[in-house]
Amino acid sequence: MPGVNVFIPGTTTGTASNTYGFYSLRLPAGEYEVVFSFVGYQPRFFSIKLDKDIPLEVELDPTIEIEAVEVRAEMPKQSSRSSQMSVMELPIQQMKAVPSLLGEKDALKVIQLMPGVQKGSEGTSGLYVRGGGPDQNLIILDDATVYNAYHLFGFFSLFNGDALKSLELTKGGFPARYGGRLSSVLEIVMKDGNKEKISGEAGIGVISSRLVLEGPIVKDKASFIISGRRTYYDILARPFMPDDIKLGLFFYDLTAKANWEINRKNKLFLSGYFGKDKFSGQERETNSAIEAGMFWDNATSTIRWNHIFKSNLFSNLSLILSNYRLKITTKEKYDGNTFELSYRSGIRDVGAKYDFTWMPLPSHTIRFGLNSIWHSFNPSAVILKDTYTNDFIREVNTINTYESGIYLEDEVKIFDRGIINAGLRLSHHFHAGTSNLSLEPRISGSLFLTKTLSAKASYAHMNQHIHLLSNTGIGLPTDLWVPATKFAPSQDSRQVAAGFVKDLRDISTTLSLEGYYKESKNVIAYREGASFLMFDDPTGATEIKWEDNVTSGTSLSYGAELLAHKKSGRFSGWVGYTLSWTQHQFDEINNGKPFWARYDRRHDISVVGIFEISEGITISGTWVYGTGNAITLPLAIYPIRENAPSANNLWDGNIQDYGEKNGFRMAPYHRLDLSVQLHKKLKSYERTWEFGVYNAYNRQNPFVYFVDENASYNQETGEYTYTSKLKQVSLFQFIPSVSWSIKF
Amino acid sequence: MNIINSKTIKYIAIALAATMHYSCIKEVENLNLPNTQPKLVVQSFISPGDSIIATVYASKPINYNITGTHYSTFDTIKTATVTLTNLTNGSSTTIPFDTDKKKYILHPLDFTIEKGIEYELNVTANKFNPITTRTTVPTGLASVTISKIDTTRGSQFESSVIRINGFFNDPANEVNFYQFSSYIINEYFSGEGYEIMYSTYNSTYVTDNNHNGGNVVFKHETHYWENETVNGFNNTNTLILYMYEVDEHYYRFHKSLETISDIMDNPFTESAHLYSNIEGGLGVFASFVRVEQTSTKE
Repeated sequence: MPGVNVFIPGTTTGTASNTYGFYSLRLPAGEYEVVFSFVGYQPRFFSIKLDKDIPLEVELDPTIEIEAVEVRAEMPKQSSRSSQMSVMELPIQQMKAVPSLLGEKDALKVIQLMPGVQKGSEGTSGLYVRGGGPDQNLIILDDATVYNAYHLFGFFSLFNGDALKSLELTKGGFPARYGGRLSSVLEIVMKDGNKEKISGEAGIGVISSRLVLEGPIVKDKASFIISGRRTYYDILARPFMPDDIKLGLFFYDLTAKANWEINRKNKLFLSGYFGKDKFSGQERETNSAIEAGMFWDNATSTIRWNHIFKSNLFSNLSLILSNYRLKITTKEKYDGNTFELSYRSGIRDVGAKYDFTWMPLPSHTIRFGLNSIWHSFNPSAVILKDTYTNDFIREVNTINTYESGIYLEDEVKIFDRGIINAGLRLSHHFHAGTSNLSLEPRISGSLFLTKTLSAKASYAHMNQHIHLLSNTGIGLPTDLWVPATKFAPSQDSRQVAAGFVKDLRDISTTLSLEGYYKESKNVIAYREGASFLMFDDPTGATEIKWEDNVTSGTSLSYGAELLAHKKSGRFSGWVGYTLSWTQHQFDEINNGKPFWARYDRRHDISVVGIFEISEGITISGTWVYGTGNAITLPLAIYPIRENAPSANNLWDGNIQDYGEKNGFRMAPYHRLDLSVQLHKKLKSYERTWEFGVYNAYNRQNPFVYFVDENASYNQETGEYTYTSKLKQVSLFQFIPSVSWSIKF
Repeated sequence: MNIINSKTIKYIAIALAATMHYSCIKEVENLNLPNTQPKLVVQSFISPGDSIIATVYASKPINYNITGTHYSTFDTIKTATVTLTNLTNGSSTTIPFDTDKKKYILHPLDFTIEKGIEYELNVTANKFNPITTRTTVPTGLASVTISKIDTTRGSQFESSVIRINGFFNDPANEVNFYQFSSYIINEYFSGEGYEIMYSTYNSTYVTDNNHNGGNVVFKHETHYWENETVNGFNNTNTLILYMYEVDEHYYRFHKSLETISDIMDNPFTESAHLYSNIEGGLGVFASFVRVEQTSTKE
């Protein structure tokens, strides 16, 4: 488990386990009591006589005890004592207690409740972190990059909370071991599987059911965990559909992991994720049939080898595969002939990373390593089959690039006054015969003002060699991953942050106040009127250069974040507030003038509370508030005509005059969610009923605005009068949910 | 054909509707909705040897939730003062309003438009902010070569397609923009005899970006119906080709117009704004020079 506190009570001596659960603590010879603790788990206490290097493997059990665990000593590794800032660790148990849309526990939706993280549209799972878009987040599942982390048009994320061990979001002050994205790193680790006995969880909800099964392969040596989820939304939506249309609407997830402890110094892990979404329709008539739809799927797999060279030197070697595909297709059959046209895009990664953790001295933790990824992009692939004309065309556009990085960082404890993590990352990108090298300095540190209060600051230079073209029209998952090229160069950002962190006496509560300032360049957007899907001749699809449809610009974001987070206890939760500004500037958009980002949200407030009334009842609530999204409204209409000598069939009509891009604010967004969980421990299992309501006071938050024009006829005057009304579509009203789950 | 055809859009729209069956629609209330003032809309394209024509309208604001008249009818502003100035020699003229054609029109002999010269257009009208805009007439040094004209004949139910390949011989050391247009001539009987109507108009716009001084290639496509006879129309199968050298405002205006007409209400595309070089107003003031004009029969 990552981030487990390992400390000697009554002292300031301690450390924390790394991402792979490795730790090393150097002490003078003697007798000690060592405590291992992590939020949401039973702490473990060991009495040790230290006269030589002692390997100590510890397993922690999750706890649901309602009584607060007595804390026998202060915990030295608190947020205020860490070198890092802008990091949020979310206890999985806490995540599972937060109310959710339709009862679907969603890790990314809970992350959106943290300061500095905005959501995009109502109900969607996309993360906008400190002004950055969703493409600027590196989402890692067991070391593998996940490119499209969403189901159902972004309304749910891929991550089934039942199979997760830990979840950590870094928004700034990035250590040198992270690279490749500008705005955040979301590191998600799957559970390893119970090595003692077969256990699991199952749940049935309003739109999906899930099952987790874990257990030993060889007791105490090897274990597995399998988790699956499938929606039956297509069945629920059927009554709302026209009779002659058959719809296929579903998504599924499958995660699997196996681990094998070869010996004390070597462990092997194998993990994978597979998920798919399908949205299609079929119509059948006597001589004809048509099927059309949109499908996308993700697959990742990782093989990892942990090795301990000696007591203070650890390594992790990972081999990684990741694949994302999108397909939009239409297929028509008529009188025995078939016409099929499909558009596909995707990205495939094959990579490796080798990381080392070395603790040569008690005051130094040195990390170094390298990673290498071969990307294969398919920005467009068109397949046309027509049995009537005997046409078969397959035009595939493939771009291969290579990305790598090498890093070195040292975390230094400066006596008892502070701690600094300084590092350097060299990133490399190769495409079409051109290599780009970039040096990325990173530094973050804490100055201990008291035992529980510190001042923090950080600087990070990041590069991103991959772009996501996201159409802002209606937000469908037609996101297109493309590489950095000569015409769309790598994105680059520099971020400074500073603030204070205070750990309260009840040390499971942390207060933090941070300010940040981030400049990014070479961010890309579609040109006005552009879309990757518009072409008249499929045989010419590969001639369409996506670079011709995009333009580069800059982004500036700054703001302040306040968080009060209580991670454990009968009452837990957090309050977060963000005050932020995000502006873009593109020479070819908005006449080159800076404009607000669509998701620029001046104020963002989240209040989350979880209260365990008794052993069997937990209630929770979430209230969120955010300034409305910035949109562009048409302000006037006027006539125009194209120039041509004495011709008909010219473009001659009316054009809408838009105001400043994103110059208008939608109504503010706010919403209250509530839930109650009823637990009951039975002989061989524990069951939970959860009753929840999303949008408890039925706030009609705007999802999209549109102009509705109506005409009315005056019989007396014989004239028509027209009105333009601005209307809004609100997506999710008061939505109750119920779910049933068991743990065995 | 578009990969996103009507059937695909239909199913995706239905799937989205299924997803959003919880949703509702209502009027936006209590918001600081924009209350926009009308602006002058000026449009004029000048060329050596052609009449100088300018249209002046007022835009109609979309004042949300306020009842108004139909937007599709716009009255010309007849009382504007439209002044054209040659910025090289300082000569200036006022363009009079033609009540029959409802435009501001000046005969070419009354004011000369010359290649390579910059002109300024000023328009003032009561209750509007005055506007000033400029254009530099292209030098007209380019020439054009048509390398190939291909015709693919269609069937009874399909149009025929004409593909024209060629290039502009681009002068070096200046930024150039070009337009290649084609018409198919139809003729019809109006009761007093046959009259000619130009139909099936298409334009292709290119620029010498990154090809300065070389050949700027264009590929143009148009289509027509064989043996079309509708309401007395006869297709005379005459193809007329116009090749212009245009200024940057002309090019950007027409390219943005092309983009807007292509995307219309397609939700998969970015919204597009119509280019304008009218500061404080709307529309465009631009110029062009005829490089060549030719015609060909089948």
